[in-house]
Amino acid sequence: MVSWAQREPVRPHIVVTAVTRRIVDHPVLGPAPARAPVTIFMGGTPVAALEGEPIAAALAAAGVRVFRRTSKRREPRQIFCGIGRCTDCVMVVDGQPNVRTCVTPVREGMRVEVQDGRGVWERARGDSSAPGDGPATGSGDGAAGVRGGDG
Amino acid sequence: MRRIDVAVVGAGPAGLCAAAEAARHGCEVALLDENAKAGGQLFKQIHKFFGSRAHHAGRRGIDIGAELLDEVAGLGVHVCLGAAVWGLYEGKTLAVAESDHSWRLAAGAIVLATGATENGLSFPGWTLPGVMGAGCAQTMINVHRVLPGRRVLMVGSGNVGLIVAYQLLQAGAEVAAVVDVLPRVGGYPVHAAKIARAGVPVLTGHTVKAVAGDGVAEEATVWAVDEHFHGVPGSEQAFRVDTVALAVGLSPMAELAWLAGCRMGYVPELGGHVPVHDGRMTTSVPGVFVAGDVSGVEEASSAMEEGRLAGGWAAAAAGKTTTERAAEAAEPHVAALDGLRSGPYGAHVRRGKQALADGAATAQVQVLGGGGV
Amino acid sequence: MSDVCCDERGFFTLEEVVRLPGCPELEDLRGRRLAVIECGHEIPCDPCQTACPTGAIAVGDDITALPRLDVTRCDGCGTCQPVCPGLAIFLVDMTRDDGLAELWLPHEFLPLPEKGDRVRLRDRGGEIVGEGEVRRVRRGARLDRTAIVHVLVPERLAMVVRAIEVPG
Repeated sequence: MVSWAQREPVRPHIVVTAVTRRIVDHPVLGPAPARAPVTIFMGGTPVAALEGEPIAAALAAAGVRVFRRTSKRREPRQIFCGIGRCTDCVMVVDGQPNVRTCVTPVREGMRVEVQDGRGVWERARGDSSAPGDGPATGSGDGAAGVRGGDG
Repeated sequence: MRRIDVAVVGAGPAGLCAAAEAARHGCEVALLDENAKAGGQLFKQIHKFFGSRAHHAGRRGIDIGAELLDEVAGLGVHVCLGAAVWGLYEGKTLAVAESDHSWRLAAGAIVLATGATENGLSFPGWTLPGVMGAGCAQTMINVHRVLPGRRVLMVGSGNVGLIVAYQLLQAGAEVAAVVDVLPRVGGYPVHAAKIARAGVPVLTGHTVKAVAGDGVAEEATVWAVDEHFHGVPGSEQAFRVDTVALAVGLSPMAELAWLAGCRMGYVPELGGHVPVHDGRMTTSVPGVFVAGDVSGVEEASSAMEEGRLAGGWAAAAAGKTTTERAAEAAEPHVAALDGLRSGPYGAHVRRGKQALADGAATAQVQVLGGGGV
Repeated sequence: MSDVCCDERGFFTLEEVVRLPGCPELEDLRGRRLAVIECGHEIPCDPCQTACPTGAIAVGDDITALPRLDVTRCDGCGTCQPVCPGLAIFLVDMTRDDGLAELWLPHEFLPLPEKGDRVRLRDRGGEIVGEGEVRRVRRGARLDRTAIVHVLVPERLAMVVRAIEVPG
């Protein structure tokens, strides 16, 4: 009897482009809708994204597998729940740490970095020119007490 | 402070139906959801639903969801997206946070339809990039149109595990195997049959021992379990995978019910702590109703029926319809739920909901400050 | 015969399928095209009954009951196939006299095969059991994004083949 681990794997479909993991066509959902391209920067390197998609989707499509490292043991993390509840996927976005990349849409020119532990605020407190929420406000990601995840 | 007849928290299938039903009874309704889009998990369900024609059987979740959004919009429901309800105070007042401001909403009645969250499973390597919830994989492929990985091990053979494994194949991923610690497939065998004939091994009586790799998931080791669910040394099999999806159950997200001072019960058959409720979806706090997975983990079809019930009874509690009219409107939905919960696959839910009605499962909750809203 | 049942294995054996009320007797299949409903668990579900235009499928008021096929009423139209949420209905056509049977398989993968393609055939457990030629691929609004692939298989595999391999 053939051991399960040796069984011939189900082959991938050509519906996924070889370069990225984007699903360009789908038997139920149909062809992917056209969306405007957006460029974000991961550690300085441009990453092709699509308008409206969450940062995590763009990074996953580009094959990025490590989003942050934990505080104590610097262990790698990526994504777990995908719907903004668990905070596994937080990264530093435009200088602001603890941004949930699975629910935050990309913006042209956005800077995304691997978060180290809890991250460091790039801007001084009270700087209201921050793109999302400034560190002093209580809503959204950031200083609202969202734990970046320790370990 | 704003006021509304009925506030519904959560715009998934239960919340959408509750909002629509309350609006049909003449209520002014606010439907709030912390996400940028309404629909909850419904728009990830690209497969055809079971049940009878009245249960939308044979129709895909995505199509049912689109119809519900149209219905809600057509009824003039105030849909507030990106709005997280973080507090529930006296006078049935909700505290709502949006990205740049907070506000309060006083309601005549509230429906909590906040759903459930995926469970985790810890084993060596479970935190590695590539190990994620099965729902997360489903969101990535069906909503964002991105493969989370190319080769997946699915842990759990309940309907979520089986359906997501199938959807991963449809999305172009390879599924190395589906494993389940129990000796039998947990979900509908027809779902297992679809993936089995596509060449995916289904390993019952097995679980994941460890996931390893150089900083990311690269290999998953699976082993057989004995009758005590202990791993059997020597039975290990290794799969080269970059993704391990965990479909090991859901737990109701009942935080707002706790905050409201609702009596809670621990009911394993329903997924954990749930608000004690009856067939009218009423909790122990007058004017606070529940619907959908938050009241017990089931499926989208049940969530929609419970939403209709909760919405109707909330409308009565808000004084916009009579008990008689609400009871009449409730009848077909009560019958539909009975149908959905019939048979062996509904047994655990019937037991769980009955335990709540019997008071057998109520936890003694110390309610601070007198409780109740 | 294995002691392992469908629920442990994840798929039916042929021996289990032929005992199902939705499966015709094997001798009834000769020279006909009939639906084979491989639904063997008490799931609340009845769209097959609603869809059948000739009343050949009976579930009843208790919708957890297994569908029963009346071969005297079934004319092999296939209307039931796309409405089954479990993709558990197959049409088996044994009207040919060239030693081949034509199977209608519900198929929801890409890339779709095309008429004339030679494809590898899988059994219920996913094992490759042979090769066959695709005669037709149907799509359409009524099918609601489930394609029906008509594939020719050796007659002896008419009740064995239940999927085609999807090429990479």
